[in-house]
Amino acid sequence: MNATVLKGHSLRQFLMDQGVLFAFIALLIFLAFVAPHFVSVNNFFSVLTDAAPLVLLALSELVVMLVAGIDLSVGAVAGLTGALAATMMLSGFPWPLALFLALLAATLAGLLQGIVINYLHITDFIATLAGLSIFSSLTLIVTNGEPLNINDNGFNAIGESHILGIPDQVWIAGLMVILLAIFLSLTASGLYLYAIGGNRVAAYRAGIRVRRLRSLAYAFSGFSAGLAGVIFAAQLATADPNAGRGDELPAIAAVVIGGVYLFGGRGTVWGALIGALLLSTILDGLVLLNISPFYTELVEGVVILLAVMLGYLKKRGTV
Amino acid sequence: MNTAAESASERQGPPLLRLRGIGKRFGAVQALRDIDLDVWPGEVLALLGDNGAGKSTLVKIIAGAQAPTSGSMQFHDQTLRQFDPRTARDLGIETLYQDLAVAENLDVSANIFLGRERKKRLLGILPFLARREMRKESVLALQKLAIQLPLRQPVGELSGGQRQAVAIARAAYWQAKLVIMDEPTAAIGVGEHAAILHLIQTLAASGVAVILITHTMPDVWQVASRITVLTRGEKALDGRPDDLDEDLVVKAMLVGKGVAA
Repeated sequence: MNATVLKGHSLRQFLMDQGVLFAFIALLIFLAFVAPHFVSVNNFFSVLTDAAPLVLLALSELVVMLVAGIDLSVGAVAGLTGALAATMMLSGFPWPLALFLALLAATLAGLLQGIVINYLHITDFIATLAGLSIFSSLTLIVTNGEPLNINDNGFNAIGESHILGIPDQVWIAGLMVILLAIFLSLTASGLYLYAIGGNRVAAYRAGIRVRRLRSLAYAFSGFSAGLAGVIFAAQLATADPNAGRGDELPAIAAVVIGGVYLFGGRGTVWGALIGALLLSTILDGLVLLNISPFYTELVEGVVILLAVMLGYLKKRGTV
Repeated sequence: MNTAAESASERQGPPLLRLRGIGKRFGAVQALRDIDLDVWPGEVLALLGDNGAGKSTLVKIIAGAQAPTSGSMQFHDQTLRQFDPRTARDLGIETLYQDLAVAENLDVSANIFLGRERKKRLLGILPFLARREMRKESVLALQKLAIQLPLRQPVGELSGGQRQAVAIARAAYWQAKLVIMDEPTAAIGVGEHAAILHLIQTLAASGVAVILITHTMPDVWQVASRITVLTRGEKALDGRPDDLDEDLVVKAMLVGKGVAA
């Protein structure tokens, strides 16, 4: 195994791995040409702002997929979090407390599913499908099926204000990205998530608390989805009972595009981030190009297929 | 070549592992009956037997994965009762399963340290992985066993033999006293076969006791310092390779106790 071979290998690997990044850049350039006012600092931030909730949902999926799970409930948890926060503020809770309790509820929703999956041995897919159903229904019950207006300016500022010229939403998603990246690449628990996804039995034999960590992965998923829900609500100053509905699919699509392996053990925060940015920008692009929203899911589906096929070809090419 | 055998014949001190009258019953089936077995440090014990002879059950009992229904076990002055695989590992009993030993998506050093990582405190509080230190230690651990491996690739990209070597290096690094190997050469190419056998000898020469389950007869005469044959849950034969030949061993595997010379 000589050094030059390895170097060449990893350079090619790098270019292959960053294919999604190149696609993202190419898309930005393309949009700049077809929609001239697309190129501006404001619009750059609006790309990031639009992508923020999807980035957070993608982080949820990333973490559960690393431990070979899947979370279909992220959209529903996001919707429920916004509804709970709004309801609490309407009944007089100060917004920071409402925010804290709503995020706590989202985390517990995730943890509960994690416990059902790992200690009661219900398949991830089924448990979170049930979760999707239950949390969607709870949102309707809490909101009575009506959009709830949020009058609290402190809360709504999350959707409007800037810190150092950068929108709050971008800060939230950005911080989560950085913290998760640090956690996954530098801590033992982060490494264990990969180990569990790579070989669950070997991880168990190595003394890793597999069930506990897998449950906590779902708790994280709930928390991150809750943050996405807070952003949805703050952006519109409304808790829409339909907020987050169906968002599990783009979230899963985003991480798949970003090279996260569906069956566990492989994937990076960087990949999930770029996947989410690419998908979000494609969806924005459809709007910019005046393409009927009926095509949205068609495009999503095609992008997922392309991403998986490219991933497969890449694997076949390098192995 | 015969270092393992010689050290076994010297057999200083008490055995590392002492089994007396071990039996295991699954309902109406008597999987093991009255097994006595002593294993000394530095010896390679080849555990042979047909499928269903009780090898796996015996090994699982030693590794703490199953409890015997009768008999007693002593390991290194300690009587073992009701212990689990984790306790076994902490005591120094390491089991290397064919494919379940390593996490394929992690690199060599992550696998050697898996579950027992070195950490450094960043800013005085945050316990971060000391990757560089672990990698250095891994290099040393591999050198000790004269193993050469690409360190930065996921273990899944390595060959079967290299993966097996990673698992052995891990056991050696954590100072296992008894290493149980289940068919270590089963999924390995011809070229690497000899390397793994050599590694087993190196391990034994460093004072580790090895229990080797295998179906490959030539391996047995090449590395084992003792042969124990199980047949239908009973010990049918126990002796030094020099005193036994393949015919006798195979007969013992098929017929049972009667053949013992």
